[in-house]
Amino acid sequence: MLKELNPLLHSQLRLAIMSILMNCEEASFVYIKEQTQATAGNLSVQLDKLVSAGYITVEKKFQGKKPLTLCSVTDAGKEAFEEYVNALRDYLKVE
Amino acid sequence: MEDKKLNSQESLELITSMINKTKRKIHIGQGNLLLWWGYVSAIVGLLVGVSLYITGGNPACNWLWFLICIVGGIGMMVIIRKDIGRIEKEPKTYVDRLTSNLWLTNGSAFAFGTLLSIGFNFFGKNTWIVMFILAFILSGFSANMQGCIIQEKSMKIGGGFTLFAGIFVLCCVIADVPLAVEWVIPLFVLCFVVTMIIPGHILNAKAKKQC
Repeated sequence: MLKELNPLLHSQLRLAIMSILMNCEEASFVYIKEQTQATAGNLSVQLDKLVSAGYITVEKKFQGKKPLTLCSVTDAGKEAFEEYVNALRDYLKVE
Repeated sequence: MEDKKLNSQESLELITSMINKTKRKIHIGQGNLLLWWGYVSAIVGLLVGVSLYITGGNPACNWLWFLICIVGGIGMMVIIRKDIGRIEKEPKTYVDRLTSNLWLTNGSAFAFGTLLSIGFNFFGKNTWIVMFILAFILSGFSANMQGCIIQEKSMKIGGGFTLFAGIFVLCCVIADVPLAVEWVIPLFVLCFVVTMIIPGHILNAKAKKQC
């Protein structure tokens, strides 16, 4: 029987965020927004969901006078993403 | 991009596309720091060589070496400050952390060597040569390692050459072979040309081509 795909990751924007963060150690809110072409509001909501699940951490600081939000994936996030990709492979084999 | 559900094929395509987008790319100006340190070191090396030649080997000319730390350090801060917006905006990868730590260790070791030399000289022991040898060995090793990490052949070769030159100079010092200005200064300048100046221009040219 096929394993259920993690519903938290099985959404376009959240999966895009996790894919970006899996490929780098740290990325800024602005960078993720540019790469995903999401609106700031929607991106914030999805980031909050990933933070609540313990998949990412968000650090807010200032670069001069400008605010800088940095996101990075946690060990739990890495594990969840790997499980998701493995499950995805099983689904693709069946299809 | 929205919060819509995907099928497995779409999910896989999305992951692939995001990974491709965030792949580390060479950016314009990546070679600037290398160029800066390379030119400053080579020019100061030439300046010391010319001064020693003109004054008939006056040891006081060696104080000019400190220009590398002073001018190089100030210039580096200016370059970093100018670039800070882009540095903070771009994602940080494992490679970025590795290379910045590598050069931080290099700088710290050189600073430690300088302080030790100053301390020893304070007690009448001439150890200035340590700084000279460290400049070869540390910069050669770090450039070679960075070349391996970012897969830049010119840095691997240039760094390796400087590292071996440093070991050669060290052997000369231990064997009491005099470090004549006529060959040691040109060697120093050549090392910084092949370790930093040439790779710096190559990196900047590659970045320009990529954009």
